[in-house]
Amino acid sequence: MNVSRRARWCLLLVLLPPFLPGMVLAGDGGVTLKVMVEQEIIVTNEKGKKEKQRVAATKVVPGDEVIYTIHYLNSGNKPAEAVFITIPIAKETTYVNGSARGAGTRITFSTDGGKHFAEPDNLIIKLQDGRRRPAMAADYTHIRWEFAEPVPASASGAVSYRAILK
Amino acid sequence: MMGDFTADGFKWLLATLLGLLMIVGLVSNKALAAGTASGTTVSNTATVNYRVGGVAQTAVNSNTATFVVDTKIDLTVATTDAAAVQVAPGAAEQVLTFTVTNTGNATQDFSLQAVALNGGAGNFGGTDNFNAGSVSVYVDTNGNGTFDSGVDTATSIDNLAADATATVFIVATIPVSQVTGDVASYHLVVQARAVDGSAITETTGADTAGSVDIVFADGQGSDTTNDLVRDAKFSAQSDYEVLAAALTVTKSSTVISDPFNGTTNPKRIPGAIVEYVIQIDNGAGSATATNVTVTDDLSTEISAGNLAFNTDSFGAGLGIQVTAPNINGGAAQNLTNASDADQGNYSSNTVTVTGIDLAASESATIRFRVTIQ
Repeated sequence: MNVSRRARWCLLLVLLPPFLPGMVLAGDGGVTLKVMVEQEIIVTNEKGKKEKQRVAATKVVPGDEVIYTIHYLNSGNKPAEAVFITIPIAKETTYVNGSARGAGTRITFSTDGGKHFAEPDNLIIKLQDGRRRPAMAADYTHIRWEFAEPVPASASGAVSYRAILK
Repeated sequence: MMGDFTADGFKWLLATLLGLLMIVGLVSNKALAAGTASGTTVSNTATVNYRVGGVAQTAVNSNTATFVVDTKIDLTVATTDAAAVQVAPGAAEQVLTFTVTNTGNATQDFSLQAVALNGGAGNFGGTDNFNAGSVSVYVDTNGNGTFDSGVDTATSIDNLAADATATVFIVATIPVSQVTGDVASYHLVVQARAVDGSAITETTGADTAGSVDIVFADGQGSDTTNDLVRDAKFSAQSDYEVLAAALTVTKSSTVISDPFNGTTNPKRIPGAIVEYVIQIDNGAGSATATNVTVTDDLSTEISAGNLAFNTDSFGAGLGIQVTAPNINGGAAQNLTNASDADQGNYSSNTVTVTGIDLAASESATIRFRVTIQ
């Protein structure tokens, strides 16, 4: 049967990585991530004008918006290919629609705990009574940024999104 | 266009079915309306997958980014009175009813204060023009929505959880001198306090990461003098409006008989029997008057020798008659002159009838007879 053969192949792929040659071991550089969570506050600058400033998120109450920024760095000496970054949306927060950013990435979302990802228009929720509805930001469980191009050696950048604390 | 799903029909179908089965379990995620509990740590870790030279690398995790949810102080206050509360002059323990809801994310105490308007618009129209007396504020301790004197005795709200609501009463006495249409309006001003009842200070300046700080998020309610935005207070307004009974009394007389004409066209001459009728009317739209007492002192006429009271007009010892909606089903009721259990008595030249109740637009009459001397 088509399905079982494909499933076996997938299973094989999952088991193989520890045994394949040519793999970069931990400690040889490669891509690393650093996540920061921040808030925007309004401060009055020395000229007396009000302006937005980003600070580490430490005074967060329900209803506040936080900004997650994921910095990436390829510290290896070879380009990283087929790169994708995935982050779960913390269950205490709701994704702010349209806020995900990532230059050179294709952004998709999961509503099923990270098993499947699709663009917003293709995410459908099936309700317990059998009806279907389009998924909303409140249904998203994960965000994924897929890089269209390999990330060169020594290259760095960031992707980000905003969420509201429930 | 389906992202992860290729043209392979089987794979799509299986993936979709698995996906749908997963989806059903994840959609409903009920959060507190008041928000994530204060002190909750919110954590997040990102993962990167990549290949080098065509070979898949071990997925790499980021650091765990966290923040601690601070305490949000927020509350709403509203009156549940649908209109001004109608009160009678002199009435005690008249009640205005409010609800207080903790819309913050932590349990708090709340202090209560009734603030009287001194003029200005009532909450339900009308203009505030008097202050009630003996004003107190009580929490609905037994939670039954009604003020129970002696049972609802707490004067501040203790340990109200996030999302919970308490009912609060302003209780006051209406001065007996007030008239129909008078309005006494009150703000209930509520302030969030720490669970030991002490005042809360908002955390200002730089935040202390990892410890719980306090943010005031409240708006401004009805009392714009005492209640500002982000001061841990909120307020709502309600009114007492006076509705008094409007009693009018008229006295008339009819000659029943005289010694010469009998009952045919009798004249008011010595020896004539005259029936007095006292009518009491309660105006339309008025409050019900209860336990109305009517007295008619005939001393002056009797001392002058002009009249004598007829003691047996309606039967032996029955010199007074009352017709009132709440007595004898509204039928005429004869009353004894003696001071006894019934509503009437005649003593010291005075006719007295008590115990008459009149709702709006109702009337009662009292009859007695005299003989012209």
